[in-house]
Amino acid sequence: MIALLSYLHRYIIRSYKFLPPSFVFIAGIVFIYSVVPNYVMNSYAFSTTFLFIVTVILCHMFMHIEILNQQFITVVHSNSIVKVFIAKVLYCWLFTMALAVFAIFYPVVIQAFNRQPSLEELAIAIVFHSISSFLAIAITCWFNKKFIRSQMLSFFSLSLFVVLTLASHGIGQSLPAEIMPIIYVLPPLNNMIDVLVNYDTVTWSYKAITLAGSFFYGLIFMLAFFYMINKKRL
Amino acid sequence: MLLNEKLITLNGISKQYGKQEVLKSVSLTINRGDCIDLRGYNGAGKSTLLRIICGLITASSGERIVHYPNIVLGYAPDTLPNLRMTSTEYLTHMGSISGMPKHILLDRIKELHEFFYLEQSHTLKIVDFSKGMRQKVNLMQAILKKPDLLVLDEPLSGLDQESLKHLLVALKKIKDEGTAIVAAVHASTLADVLEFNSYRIDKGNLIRYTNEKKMTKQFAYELQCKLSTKCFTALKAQFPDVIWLNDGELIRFTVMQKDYRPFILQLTHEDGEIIHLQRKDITL
Repeated sequence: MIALLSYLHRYIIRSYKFLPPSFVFIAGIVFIYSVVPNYVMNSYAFSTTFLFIVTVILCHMFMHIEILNQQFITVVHSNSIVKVFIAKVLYCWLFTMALAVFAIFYPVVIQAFNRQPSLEELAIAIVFHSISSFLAIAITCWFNKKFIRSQMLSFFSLSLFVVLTLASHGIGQSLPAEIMPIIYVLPPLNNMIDVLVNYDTVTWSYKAITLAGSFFYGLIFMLAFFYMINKKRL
Repeated sequence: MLLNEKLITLNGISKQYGKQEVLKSVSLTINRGDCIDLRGYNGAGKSTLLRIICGLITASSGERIVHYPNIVLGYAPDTLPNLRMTSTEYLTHMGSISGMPKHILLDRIKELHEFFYLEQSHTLKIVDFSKGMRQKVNLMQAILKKPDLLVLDEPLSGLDQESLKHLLVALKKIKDEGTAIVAAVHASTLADVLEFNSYRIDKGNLIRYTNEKKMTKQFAYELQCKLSTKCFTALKAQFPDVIWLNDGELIRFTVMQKDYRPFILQLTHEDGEIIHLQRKDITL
């Protein structure tokens, strides 16, 4: 796995394709914290959402970064298509974790908050950013050229899915009660944001259920993806 | 290690892309030490069959049985992509992914560079390589770890005469060590030099050549043409066996020998213009 991660790292870093989305994320964070002071958990709610969107873009790019012939070669050498895709998913998550660390600690370092965040708040911010990124990767895997032949179509349908996810609360309220449960198919990102925005008022059990629910939602999507990719191949 | 030990068996493999059936109930057993070359025109299904043999794509129906549990496969696709890595970096990554110990890997990479007369540059990246140099790296990665089965897709394309000789020597050596080789080729070079068993893929069927069958030279003609829709429709109706592909504003036809003369006559009669014509040896 380390050999695969090391290869992907060199391949991706030398492609320079990661630069525009990473730059947008870093510039966005710097811009937001140029105005002070900011509320701690509300700011982390914003960066969690921002990370979700940027992770979707980065993951879609990383999944398609290898030319098909090179994918064949990598799979033959690693002797497992699932191993190759696990490495891609893991690399993407580690890459976005570097962005998450920046988003969490940059405002602390430049003292952009109205007060210094507690250790508990920092730990919660790390966990929520990690799960937001994991959730984004788990969904993006499915908008793969292996399942949707046209890369353009796969990206547009993924974008639509992200918009629906971000707007799920509003959509849920405007839907008739009988079909409202359909929004539970969408990733529970808004529930995570609610917890961060109302951090001081929600109970610990609600926080735990939201986190566990989001994690298992991502896990189910990801395991199903690995099962399908193993069945379908390249 | 036993010669004739079964490595992979394909039973009744079919493959469809949309409505087009590329392979029809193909059965093939590959034993250790076997050398098989697959021939056929462009789009006949050679690459698809090779990918199924390697387990890279699934068949629409039929089964692929791997008899040897820890089989080591070597696979060289028709082209290696333009990578922003030196050949040494690339081969080190591929060797590490396949689990080769570092000290053995570095010696092997050096040995392969010397064997293929490729300079082990620390600065020149594959993206700056010529087609022939990329093809050499492609073959080097396929034989990095001694494979039980080596699968080559058009291994000779882009190689100069000198490199071609080296490749044939390398394949002979690999073959003598007991590695099974399956290669897709246009020409009969491999079969002539390395005594391969030749198969042909024709309309999705895998047909074996027997020694009794006389190997007659046969050609296919690739034409790039500029023509009106009316002319194209007429040609399509009159020559159903001719393969065609859109190539920008042009149409690329692959015409078999039997259709060549009437096709050209009809094309010119309908005011079609031939931009490029190439004859290819597809000796059956």
